[in-house]
Amino acid sequence: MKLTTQLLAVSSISLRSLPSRVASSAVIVMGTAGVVFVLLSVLALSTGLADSLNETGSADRAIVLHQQAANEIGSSLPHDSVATILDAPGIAKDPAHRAIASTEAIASVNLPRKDNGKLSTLILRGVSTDELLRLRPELHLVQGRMFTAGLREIIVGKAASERYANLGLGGRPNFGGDQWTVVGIFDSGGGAHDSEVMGDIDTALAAYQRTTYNSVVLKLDGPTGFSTLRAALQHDPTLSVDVFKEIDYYARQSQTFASFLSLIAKAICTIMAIGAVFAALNTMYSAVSTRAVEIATLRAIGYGAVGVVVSVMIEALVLSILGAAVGAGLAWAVFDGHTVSSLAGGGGLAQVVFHLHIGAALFTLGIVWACVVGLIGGLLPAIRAARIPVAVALRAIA
Amino acid sequence: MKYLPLVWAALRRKPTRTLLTCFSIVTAFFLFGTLQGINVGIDNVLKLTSVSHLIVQSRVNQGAAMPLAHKVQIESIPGVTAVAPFGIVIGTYQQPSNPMVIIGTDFDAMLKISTDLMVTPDQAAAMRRTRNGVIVGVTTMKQYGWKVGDRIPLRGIAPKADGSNDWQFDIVGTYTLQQPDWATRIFANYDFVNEALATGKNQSILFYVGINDPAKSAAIAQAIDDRFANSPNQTNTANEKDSIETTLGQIGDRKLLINGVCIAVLFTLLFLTFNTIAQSVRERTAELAVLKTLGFTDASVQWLVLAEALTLAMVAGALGVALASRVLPWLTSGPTLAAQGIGAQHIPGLVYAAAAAVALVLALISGVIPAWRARQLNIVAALSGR
Amino acid sequence: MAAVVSLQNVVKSYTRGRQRVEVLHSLNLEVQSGEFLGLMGPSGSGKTTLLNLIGGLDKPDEGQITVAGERLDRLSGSQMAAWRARHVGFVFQFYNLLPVLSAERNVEVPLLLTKLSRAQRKTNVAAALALVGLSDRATHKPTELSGGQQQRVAIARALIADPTLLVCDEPTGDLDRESAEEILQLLTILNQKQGKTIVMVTHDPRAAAYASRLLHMDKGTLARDESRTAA
Repeated sequence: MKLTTQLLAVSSISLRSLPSRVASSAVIVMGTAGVVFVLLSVLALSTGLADSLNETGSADRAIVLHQQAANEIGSSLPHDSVATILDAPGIAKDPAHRAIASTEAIASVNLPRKDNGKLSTLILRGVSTDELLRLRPELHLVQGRMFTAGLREIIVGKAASERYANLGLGGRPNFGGDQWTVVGIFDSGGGAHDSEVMGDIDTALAAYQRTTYNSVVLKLDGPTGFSTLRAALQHDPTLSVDVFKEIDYYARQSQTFASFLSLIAKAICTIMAIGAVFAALNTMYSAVSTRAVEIATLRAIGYGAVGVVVSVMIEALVLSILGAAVGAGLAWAVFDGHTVSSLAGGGGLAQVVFHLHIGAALFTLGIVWACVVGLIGGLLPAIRAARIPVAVALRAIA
Repeated sequence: MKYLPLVWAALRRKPTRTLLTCFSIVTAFFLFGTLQGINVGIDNVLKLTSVSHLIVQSRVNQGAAMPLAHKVQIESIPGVTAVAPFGIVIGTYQQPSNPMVIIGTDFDAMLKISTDLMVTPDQAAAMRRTRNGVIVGVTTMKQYGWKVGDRIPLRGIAPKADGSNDWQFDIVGTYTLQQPDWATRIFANYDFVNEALATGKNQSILFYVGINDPAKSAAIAQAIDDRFANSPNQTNTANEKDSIETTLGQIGDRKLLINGVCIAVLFTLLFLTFNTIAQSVRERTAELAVLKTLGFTDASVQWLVLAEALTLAMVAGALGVALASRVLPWLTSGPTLAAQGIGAQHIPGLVYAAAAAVALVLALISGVIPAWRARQLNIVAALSGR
Repeated sequence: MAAVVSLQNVVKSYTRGRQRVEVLHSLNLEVQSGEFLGLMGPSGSGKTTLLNLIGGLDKPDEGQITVAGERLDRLSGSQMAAWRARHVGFVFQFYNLLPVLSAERNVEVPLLLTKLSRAQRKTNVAAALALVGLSDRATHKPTELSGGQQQRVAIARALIADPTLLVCDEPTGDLDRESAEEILQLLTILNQKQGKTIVMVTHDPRAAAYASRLLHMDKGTLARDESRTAA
């Protein structure tokens, strides 16, 4: 008999007898479901944050920071450097031939949260009013109007507006000792900016009595824009700055936190998976022993040992994948689309609000983990099944 | 107790199954013990840390150095009673795998700020006299077997101003806290450390700030941050509690996360133990019937099955928590945490009690249906069934 | 001699599927103290049902059963269990020993229900094993013993609490000729030397030959009752 024919035959017999072993089979399903549920739930946090920060970045924008600054809040650019940067080649120009760029300054401010009244940190970002919308086309106002340069007016990100007291349209929050007025609510498509507050850069600098900027964000002039710009900035002896594609900058910002969380998730889930492997071993050993006569009969008829081994493995795999589907489905049902916030913005000093998203990539990861549990849990029992002495097992029924 | 051999016999019937179930329960309780240990540990850290003084850190980058000049400016802010800088020497002791952090500070200021720091007056005086003196936490003293009067050689990671990497510190005293486990820091004299350093002179990675009124801590913290708002070295001031909360990584809702994981783990386990006991009862139908013919009542057979579930859960659960009690202190001991003044965490009694309760509930829930089946078992039917 | 077992108008039926089958029809029986009663009959004649009723494993639908001075039809489940522990010893066809316990541990099980101390239990177990001739096999597991030896352990277990009555269901049904003879001789000795009342179901005429009184059952009634002198 061909191996594939054998496999099909043996596996279909063993899978058909599954319902009669429901209770013990449920152990594998529940075991892997538990592992996958915890894995996906915790990883949804880290990927959700990473996604949020990645959405903030765009491939056709770049951010200029002071050399070796880890992030915006640790960067300081004097006025004359900013002027030099804006004159550099590689930056896209508006119809009036001005660089499409925003010179920005950020300050962290504490505001009471709506839900528990506790102070929480968010970012006030001063931006170049004229170029803001050309630079960040994803940003659009959903309520109210744009702020006016020279006035203490701000527009508030959708997520921030929902989360903090006093940040609704017409609200008058207090930043740095001054009252500001909320004149608009904006939506930038789920990125970190949605947890921020924006106002005119010169007004912000004046309010905080500052003379230096934190960063320059600019639109790149086509695909070669970045290398042109970087070469120009690096070779200018008057400048000590670093330039990053915005997308790379935000990816790096999310990395520390995301990798910390995913490390924790993986450590916990590895231990859980070990427990699940024991459970799977248990179930498969008992499956093999209840099916000893059946297996021996098949072997007596002429089925090979390989067929038996593989059929046991397939049963374990089917059960654990079923478990993965249950766990992933549960995680999806409970957490997908939930909004959480975490310290992550501005170098770990401001809260970023983001959505948990349990998508195809996480599902796949869950299935992979479940398969590993199933394979390890099925292997030893499969070997025992293949070693069942045919004569002894058959005599047991007599 | 005399029925123990019967319970034990039931568990030994299928040793593979019992062992595998046991291992699963061990892993689950290991996770439970460790995670809840961390949970309670963090709570304890937060409970014991004080709100009576402030900690100033760099806003630019966590752990980044600030100029020592900030000290004078902070001292001038109303409500501030004393300021102690932290100048850090990182080195290794005896072998490269043994990292150590020395905190150069103004020890007298530390004593004024941190009132829970307990040192004898003559040792504090000795610290003032001895330039290369150090005052070491009792836990660290015990860990390395040091005595007052010992000279501690340390190999610094960065070279000193004189070009060498070798530091010598003399232990002039020890300090302890109400929670002696946490007395883990090594304090040296800031001036001694600062002079010897080649780079990073006149810097401090944080300032301890004493205040005259804890109720005003938020206002004073704001005043300090406002003072440096326009400098390139912005500060982030908070009381110790908030500061540690941030350092420990307050991610989303820690308790929800940990409890969620524990519930998922234990719920999964419930199925496993239930299945093991149920299978065992199914296979022993005839044996249980024989016990009944010998005069065991329905109730006592039921209790035997429950005792089986209890023994399994309790023994394996105890093993799991015992394993966690070894691993948790190892996970939480390290020079970084020690320099934060956080000692190795031990699983608190509360968690042991919780684990025992969880094992009990687990055993009862997973054993109740099989036990009920054993109770209902009809002798005549069970014996003729073979 | 006093009657140890007394059945009056006992009716017992079972439901098989939807059908109700009356197994014993208005049965009357007395067993005297010291008798070795053999119950014979074709399968389905109700001999095991009768044995279960006498041993207090089951209750009649109608009629009275008095065994060792107790009205069994009036006892609750747990009273019945306590009564069994005190008055009856069981011997089964397939021995029904607990597989993971050693011979002496198996024999000890009924004593766990008594107030005897550990030392007393040990003494009694040793005596019972000596009586069945297995002192040298005390620490062996059932799987390490032959069928005849396992049945002797089972008899020791049945005797250990000094019951009024021994109830044996096909005690030699699973044994070879030689072991069967040994077991039957052992039962005879217990009957004659220790005065134990024995009720034994068997379909083997050679086993029945050891009984002092033989009852033939057919279709739920007593067909023939013959007393005989012991072999």
